[in-house]
Amino acid sequence: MAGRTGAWALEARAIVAITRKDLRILTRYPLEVFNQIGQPIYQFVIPSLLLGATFAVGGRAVGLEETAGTGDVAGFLILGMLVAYLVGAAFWGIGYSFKREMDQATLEPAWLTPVARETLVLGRGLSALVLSAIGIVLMLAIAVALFGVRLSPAIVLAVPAFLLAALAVLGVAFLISSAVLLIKEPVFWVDASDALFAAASGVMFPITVLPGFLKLVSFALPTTYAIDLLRVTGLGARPLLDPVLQYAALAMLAAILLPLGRAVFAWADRRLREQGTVGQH
Amino acid sequence: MDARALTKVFERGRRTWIQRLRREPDHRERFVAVDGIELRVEQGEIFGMLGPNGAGKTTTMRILATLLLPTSGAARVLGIDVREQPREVRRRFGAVLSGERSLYWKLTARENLEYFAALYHLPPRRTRERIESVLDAVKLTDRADDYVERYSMGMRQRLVLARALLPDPPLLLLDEPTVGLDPQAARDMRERVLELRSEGKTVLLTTHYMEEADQLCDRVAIIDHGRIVALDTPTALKRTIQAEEVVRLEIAAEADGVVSRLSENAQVARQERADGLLHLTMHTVSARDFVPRAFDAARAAGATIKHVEVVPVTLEDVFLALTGRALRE
Ligand SMILES: Nc1ncnc2c1ncn2[C@@H]1O[C@H](COP(=O)(O)OP(=O)(O)OP(=O)(O)O)[C@@H](O)[C@H]1O
Ligand SMILES: [Mg+2]
Repeated sequence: MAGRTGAWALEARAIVAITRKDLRILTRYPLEVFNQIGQPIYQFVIPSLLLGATFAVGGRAVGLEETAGTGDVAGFLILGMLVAYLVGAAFWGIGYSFKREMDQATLEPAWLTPVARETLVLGRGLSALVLSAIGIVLMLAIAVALFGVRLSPAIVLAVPAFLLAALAVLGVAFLISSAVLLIKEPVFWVDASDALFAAASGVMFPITVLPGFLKLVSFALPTTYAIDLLRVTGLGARPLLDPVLQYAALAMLAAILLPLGRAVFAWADRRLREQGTVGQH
Repeated sequence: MDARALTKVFERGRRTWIQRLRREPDHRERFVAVDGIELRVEQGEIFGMLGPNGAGKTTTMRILATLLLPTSGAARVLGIDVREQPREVRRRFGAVLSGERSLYWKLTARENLEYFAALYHLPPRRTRERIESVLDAVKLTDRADDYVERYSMGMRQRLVLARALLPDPPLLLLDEPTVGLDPQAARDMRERVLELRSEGKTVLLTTHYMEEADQLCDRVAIIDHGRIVALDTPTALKRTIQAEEVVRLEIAAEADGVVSRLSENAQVARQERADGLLHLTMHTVSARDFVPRAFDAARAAGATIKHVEVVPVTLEDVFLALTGRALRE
């Protein structure tokens, strides 16, 4: 019998193997790499930075200065995008990837191995993180080199917030994965919920401009706080709430979402076993 | 490995949330795919489940493989309950369930196996050696570094078997291992399966090829409509037919009386009219005695025998005798 630590090591090795497999396959579709990493940048980051520049007065966005306390549109958007990458990794890199594996009929053989089901989620998560990290670095480079974004070193104070948000988003990834495993045609739902999640987190605008009930949604999302803390520390923006409160909210959301996501995923696994549909898509 | 009163009921159609909330009666059609299967597979044997499409073979297999929960009944694999300890069960078998498509086509055979080896929790030290050994076992060593997309169907099917062998499991579950393969590839696959038995492994397989069940299996369960209708060695099953040989006749013309005349000399297992001909399957102790009498009987009834075929008794005939239907219908 393998000891407890041995069991962990084997799961960790499986996570690495999943990531390696995903990345290997990606390198065999060079256009797909470009698509996954480059698309958010050329479709979204650059146009919105240019749009922001259009409305700037003397390099500062006066309107944004008024609502968010920083006039640096480019910095504002980049930090929002940083978290949007995380959300995208959860929804597409983890959640939707199960659909692809089902379509390829490769999920069932994985399901037949003794690996923990959660490991399959975490493995996808690691490969999605690797890709997101490349995208983020690229985006930051563009922002700094072409749009003159300057971030304060104080931004390191928001790193724990980013990590807490990542844990909470992992919980969301478990939820999305569960839905993808059970719903027949998940692409619309994944796309719509990803867009809503990102929007309500304030990726592209300060959430203070949202109508009342949507603002409530925003405050329920961990990413809202992560984005705000990044902007507060990196750009000197005006905080939505006291940063201490924000940290508390983040910790609480991570403590709720991660166990909730895991529980729902275990439930979905059971439903799947009742219906017998893991190989029938 | 054993199964007791294994049952799986599928619900067809959907029940909406509104129907649930209003507690409306459940109008979903319930369909019994596996209906009280009892079987016991001994260590080291090749056990076959033979039956027509939709008989419930795959469903039974998927329950044993922990992919599907039984509605009732229990199954144990090497003494471990599939319902209670699915992960422990998954440590103990290798399975070929989802066909040759279930590989990463943009990876090589070796890369596919590396991935699955990690999911099977093979210790890193043994991984390379296991991969070489299973590639060798299915004779893919020289193509191991080609992308799977360049493989033939037979090669992919062998690779799927190699994957199932990775953890060196004591039990193998093979669902239609030769379906879709050309005759040579199918023969190769059957040889592999026989080798597995000689290595002391237990094999449970499904098939709807009776020759395959006959040649390969130590014991066969004939399954129809989710039930085992017979279970024994192929020889014993064939012996249940009170005949040594099967004669197939094609008779032209109306000839009403011909069937009753023929049945005086042998047992009519099946009769069917197609293409203006009467197709008869007769069970007889001796074809040598029966065939000349059949010609006499036909002539007397004013009919002509267009075609005669004498074949040994097969499991197909056993199925026919038990269910009144042909396997492939
Ligand atoms: N997930 C499912 N949901 C609903 N019905 C199902 C499901 N899986 C199988 N069935 C039904 O159960 C019955 C038995 O199917 P099964 O696949 O076990 O048959 P089989 O003996 O393997 O047949 P074949 O020779 O065609 O492979 C079929 O009528 C099938 O439609
Ligand atoms: Mg089947």
